Amino acid sequence: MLEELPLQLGVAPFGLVFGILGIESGLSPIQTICLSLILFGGASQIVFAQLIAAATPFGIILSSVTMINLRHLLYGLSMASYLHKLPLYWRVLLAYLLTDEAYAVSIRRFSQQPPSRYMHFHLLGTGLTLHLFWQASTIIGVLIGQTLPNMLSLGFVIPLTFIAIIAPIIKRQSELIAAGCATATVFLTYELPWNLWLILAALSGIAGGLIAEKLKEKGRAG
Amino acid sequence: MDSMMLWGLILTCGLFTFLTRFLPLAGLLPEKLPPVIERAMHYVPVAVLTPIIIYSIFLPTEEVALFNNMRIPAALLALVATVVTGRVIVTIVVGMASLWALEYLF
Repeated sequence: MLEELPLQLGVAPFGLVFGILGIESGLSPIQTICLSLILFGGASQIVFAQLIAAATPFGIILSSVTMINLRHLLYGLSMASYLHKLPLYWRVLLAYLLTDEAYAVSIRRFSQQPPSRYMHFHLLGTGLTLHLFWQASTIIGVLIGQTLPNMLSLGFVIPLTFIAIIAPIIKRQSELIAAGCATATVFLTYELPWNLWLILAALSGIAGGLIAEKLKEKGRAG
Repeated sequence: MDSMMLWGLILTCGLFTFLTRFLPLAGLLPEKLPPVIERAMHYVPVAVLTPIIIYSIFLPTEEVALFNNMRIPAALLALVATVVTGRVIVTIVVGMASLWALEYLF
């Protein structure tokens, strides 16, 4: 699933959408652009904008954003053996540029072709290209966002974008159950304060998926 | 949230996000995470993005809206478009066009 996630994301339309939504959610143009520069992670930026628009407390936004970005740990771990000998400044730079898309493209290069002294330039090139596209499309989105009227229901682009990301990665029963648990939790908890529904639904989705997986394994073993 | 706090939040989120990327490359983590953590992470995208989809469709005004809510059919059409084409941009265009058309018609 993690390997297929990136291929579903068109970077430019996604950046455009984020730029527009950042403005709609009440962030200033500079804040919207800086989020793209500093976070450089599409889904987490969109969640940030949505939670800001819904007046969510600091800690909830921080934990939501971090949870979404935890997948980078897996990317980093699978890249570490190829990159751990590089000087620190290289690893800082490459870490900053490590995204779903860059990972997907570069890990293929690293694992399929013989190692070379300069192979990290592949990740640098991919990362910088994506970075450039991401910043440029955010800026264009910000400019569009400032001119569009509010009545166009543009916020609806958020669920649409996320449907396009997750529909293709729900393949196993346990993933469907994870989505089901998360959905049920939204309806049970949406009235709680501080937008707690998001964290609770995410935790119940993860738990649901893990339990479904375990039960299936047990069924197979017994 | 005032502007200073918002900047603080942007920077803190940025720092935490950078750490998720840098810690494995810094050699500060074990080479393999515990299997249960790795399995749990497999479900993070679905578990985080699904509730946002559901909330944005069914609770557009922070109240559950099941009737006269054109976001529901529009999202279903967008889902069909995703399954058929697998392209983000097609999903967005179909979904937005359906929403505008349905809200205009009904």
